[in-house]
Amino acid sequence: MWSFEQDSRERVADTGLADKLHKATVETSLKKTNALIAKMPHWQQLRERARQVKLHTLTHLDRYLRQFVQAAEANGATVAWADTGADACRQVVDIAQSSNVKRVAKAKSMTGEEIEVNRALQRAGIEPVETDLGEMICQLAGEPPSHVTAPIIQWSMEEVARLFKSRGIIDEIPNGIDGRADPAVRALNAARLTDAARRALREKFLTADMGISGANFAVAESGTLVLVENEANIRLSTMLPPVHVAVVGIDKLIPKLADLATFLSLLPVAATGQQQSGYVSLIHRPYAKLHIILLDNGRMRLLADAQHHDLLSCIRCGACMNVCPVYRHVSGHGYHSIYPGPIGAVLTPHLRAEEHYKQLPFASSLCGACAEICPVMIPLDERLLQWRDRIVKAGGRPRSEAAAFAAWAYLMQHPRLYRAVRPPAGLAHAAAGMLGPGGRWKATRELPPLAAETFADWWKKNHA
Amino acid sequence: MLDRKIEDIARIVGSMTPAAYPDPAAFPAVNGDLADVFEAALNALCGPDDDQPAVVRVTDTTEAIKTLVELCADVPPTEIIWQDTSPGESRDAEPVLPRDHAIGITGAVALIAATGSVVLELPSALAGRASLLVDRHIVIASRDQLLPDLAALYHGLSQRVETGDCPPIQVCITGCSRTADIEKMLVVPAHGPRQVQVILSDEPIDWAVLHRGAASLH
Ligand code: SF4
Repeated sequence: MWSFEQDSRERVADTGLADKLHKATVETSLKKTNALIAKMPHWQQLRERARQVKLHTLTHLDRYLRQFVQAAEANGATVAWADTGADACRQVVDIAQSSNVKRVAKAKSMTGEEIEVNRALQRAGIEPVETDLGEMICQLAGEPPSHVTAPIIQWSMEEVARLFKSRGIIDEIPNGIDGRADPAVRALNAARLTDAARRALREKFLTADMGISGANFAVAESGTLVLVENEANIRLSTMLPPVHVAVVGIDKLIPKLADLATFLSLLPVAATGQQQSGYVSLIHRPYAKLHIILLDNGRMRLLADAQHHDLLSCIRCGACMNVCPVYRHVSGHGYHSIYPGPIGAVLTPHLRAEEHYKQLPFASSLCGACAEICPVMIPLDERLLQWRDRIVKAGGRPRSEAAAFAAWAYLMQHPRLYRAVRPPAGLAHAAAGMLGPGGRWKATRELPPLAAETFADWWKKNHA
Repeated sequence: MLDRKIEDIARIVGSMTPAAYPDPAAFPAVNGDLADVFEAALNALCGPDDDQPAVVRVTDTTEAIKTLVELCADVPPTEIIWQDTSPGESRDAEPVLPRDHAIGITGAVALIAATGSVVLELPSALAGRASLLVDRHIVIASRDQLLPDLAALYHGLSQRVETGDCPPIQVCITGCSRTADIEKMLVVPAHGPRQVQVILSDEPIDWAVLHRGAASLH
């Protein structure tokens, strides 16, 4: 069985990885996000409203789905249902084959990643082309994205250049791309690499027979799909080809276009620290042939979970990843799930049946930073804790761990006994490294240096 | 299939405590002249290599024509693509293969002051090209199209659903096409225009006059 603990040891040892992730999150995105929030007196009110709108939609999901389907069909779209990812892929391939599609322009979509639609298309002899710069790089490298909004967050410019050279996208690796080079030269080189990608993709856009996208929101009252981006590749993928397939999770529903005022004031700020994203497209009456595939893939089961259904209100901004100290050390790949970070840790075990995903709720320090930043106010730390509780109760953790914690709890509630059995601190430190669960715990952590005396002794001496 | 699934969902939802639909959020008032607020917001979004101002203020259509001709100086008309004769009306029904142009010229249906956004309604796929497959996107708009913020835009759109006149496709454009995928370094452009420029007129634009006056750019 894949083990998060084993697997992350290597990633944690790679301090370069932590450096890159720290720079890309704490020093870049988060800084911008926090600066914008500081200028938004209505931030808290917007979050509360967003949460309420999502909870309202989820508790009336049948009604809003019916309304959406009716409106979208009246607008000229074909709407279908997919139970699973495989089912959705089959439908996408069917549509492509019946329209004689050879090449597909793919707009960045987490749902597309979730159902692995590229693989299905390839197997059917159809060429999927990822058109978002980061996703294009992932596709060329045969690597999954490692962040929901910044797919190549841990790639250096040098690595991108090397990949582009090996794929014939650039002829020469330019000088001055490594981390020590002049920032102005590096900026120029980033522009050069982007330009090379733009050229390589332009021809693909113009010759694609079909576009595939997800949707950030699906508006029930009007049957509108809402797509948010900065690069303009989603506009190109959905508006140039004659056929457009949108794979939309049933969690994307919102009641009204007016609700976009709330969500579009939150999403770009939380995601990229922008007041507004470059392009927000509202596809209402499509001019291409539009197929909308509504995706379940575990979402209905989650909806029925009285304690956890609010996980379906996530708008995939990625902010909880940026603030998460665990994410920043193991990267998105550390979670082995397309949804990483705190939301991935609680969502993945719901969406995927594999037992090993039950380790993910333990991959957190429970610091609560995720819940604090989440623009739709999902109490992620509580959900993490509830998962742990469920897994422990179901016997999913070693018995020795449960016994140790039970003993600890008992001692903490009985101070006299605690003082009586408390070993000298140094001994406790050494023991923690040897005992069963203590050893396991310590294997992935470093204990702080010990004080010369216990706090109780110090207090007695100084304050008694 | 779809109906059956929705019924299954209705059963799940039936056992949940229904949450109420909340009142609209109150957005802080946008203070100052909306044109000034818009100009400042769009200027803040300029790409690192922008050599021209993002907003050019003019008084009327005649001045808008003059400015437009200046901005398009040295660009042959074959390298200029127009969205349509007037916003909302398709000029060209002929299927023309898409290609890149140096300049795209469009109108707008609204400008959002707080965010520096330009809102376009695209009646056809062809209409979308002038704001997409171009190096520079020039928008001709007027003061009366200014809205304070996104709330005004999307609340207004909700009202249009009731009367059944939602635009087929609406795109809200905020600045140039950009990416920060490589090491979070801002690069302009990504796949779309390098620059968005707005000619902002005090008086509403007379599109028939503008097209005649800018005939050299067609
Ligand atoms: S859980 Fe919240 S913070 Fe995390 S991606 Fe979803 S919306 Fe963003």
